[in-house]
Amino acid sequence: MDKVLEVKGLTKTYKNNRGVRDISFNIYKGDVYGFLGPNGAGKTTVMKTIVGLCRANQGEINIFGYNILNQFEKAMAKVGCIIETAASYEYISAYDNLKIASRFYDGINGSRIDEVLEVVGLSPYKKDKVSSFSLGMKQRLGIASAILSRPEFVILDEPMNGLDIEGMADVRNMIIRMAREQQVTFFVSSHLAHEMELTCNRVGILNNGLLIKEGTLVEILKNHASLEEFFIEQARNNRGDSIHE
Amino acid sequence: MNSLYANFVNETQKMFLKSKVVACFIISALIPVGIALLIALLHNKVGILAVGTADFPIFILGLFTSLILPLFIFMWAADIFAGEVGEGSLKVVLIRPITRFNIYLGKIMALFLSAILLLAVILIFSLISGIFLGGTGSEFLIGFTSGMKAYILAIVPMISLGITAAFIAQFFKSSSGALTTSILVYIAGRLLPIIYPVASKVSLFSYTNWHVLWQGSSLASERLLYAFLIMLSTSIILFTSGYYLFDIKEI
Repeated sequence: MDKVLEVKGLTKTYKNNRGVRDISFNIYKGDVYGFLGPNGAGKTTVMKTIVGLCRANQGEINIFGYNILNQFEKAMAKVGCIIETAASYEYISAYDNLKIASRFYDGINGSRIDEVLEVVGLSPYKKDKVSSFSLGMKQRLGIASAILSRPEFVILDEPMNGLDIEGMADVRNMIIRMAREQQVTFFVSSHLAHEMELTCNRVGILNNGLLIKEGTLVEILKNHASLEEFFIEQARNNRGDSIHE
Repeated sequence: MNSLYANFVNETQKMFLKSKVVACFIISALIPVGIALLIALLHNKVGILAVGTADFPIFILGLFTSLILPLFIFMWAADIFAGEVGEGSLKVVLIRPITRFNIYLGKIMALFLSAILLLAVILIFSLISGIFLGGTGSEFLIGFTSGMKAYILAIVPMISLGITAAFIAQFFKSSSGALTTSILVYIAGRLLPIIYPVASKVSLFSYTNWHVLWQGSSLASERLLYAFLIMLSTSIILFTSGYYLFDIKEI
């Protein structure tokens, strides 16, 4: 199987001694890989380090075989992402925000921008300044920005944040559809086990800065009624383990 | 599109979509007009003509390069670096396929372009408003040629100031902190030579009006070269240091 993301021995600690330790995992083409963990488990730290927003203390990260430290442009060329919050320029319109993002890629024109705005339901507001948007609308714009370049790998950190029930269903269906129809690989983090169960085919459980378990959803659900039950069991078994020991 | 060029275009577009930047251009266009009208009024009432049509663009340039332009450049640099860190929008570009060096350079290039365009606006409006001072056609032509030369020369210290402001902005997570510090550093840099006269030779801030050194019949080429090298070396050091701080920045 083609490796899209390879994380080897990733350790990242902050000044307050929090962070993640010795994280290793791979994501393969077509995967919808879910990173499940409670708030503060280190999901965002791992994702930030993968896309270069943070520097790892130790470890190696390769995207599509390119090392993010010395081949960053090539590594990120086919990646779209939202990390922590969907960032945008508030003083300009949704359309101009996407126009600005589009310049980093070849072949992304106005019609593609209109297309992604339609996908996330923001077409009627495309000329409005982002400062007038609700949290959910900003999140939708972030998703539009992440998929704008027709990426082959999409990293979404808590993509359901700020979305209403309909918005969550839309995003979930979009992920499943893009993975099935376009073979787009997803790496999604969430603290919502049910959401992960509906969306992902592989899951990694992160707790207290450690990747405590990995597996396919099919394997997990063979022995457990739900992903939530599996997660609680894993968290209890590993309560003693922590990066802060 | 090449990532550096893409970022330069983006940063320039963002710059001119900010009402604050547009306001700087409007103010800069109005100041020469206001001053020319004031001088013309004084001339009519008292009979004193402080500045003529030929000198007016350079007179206005002196006013801008020592006070107004540095302030605007500090403000823009604070916004595009520290301001974006504070707002969380720096992440928008950091997650794109572009190196941090190209991001840093693209932002500084947009800052340079804005400063150059602002100088062009000031030159145009000071030339037009200089007509109010009742000069002849030949005086206007002298004002245009000497003004053009002085305004082009003024780009050099303004670029140095932009690099300095970008460096200072790396220490802050809000544009207000970066702007205040840049202003304080600038004031200190201008006042220091009063206490330590030798500081005027090595301080970048002593050369904001270096276009004046180029005026007159005999040019002190050694002095000009020295001033240029001070600005160049300070810019290289601060650009490299600023980029280093930007490169290790964690968001």
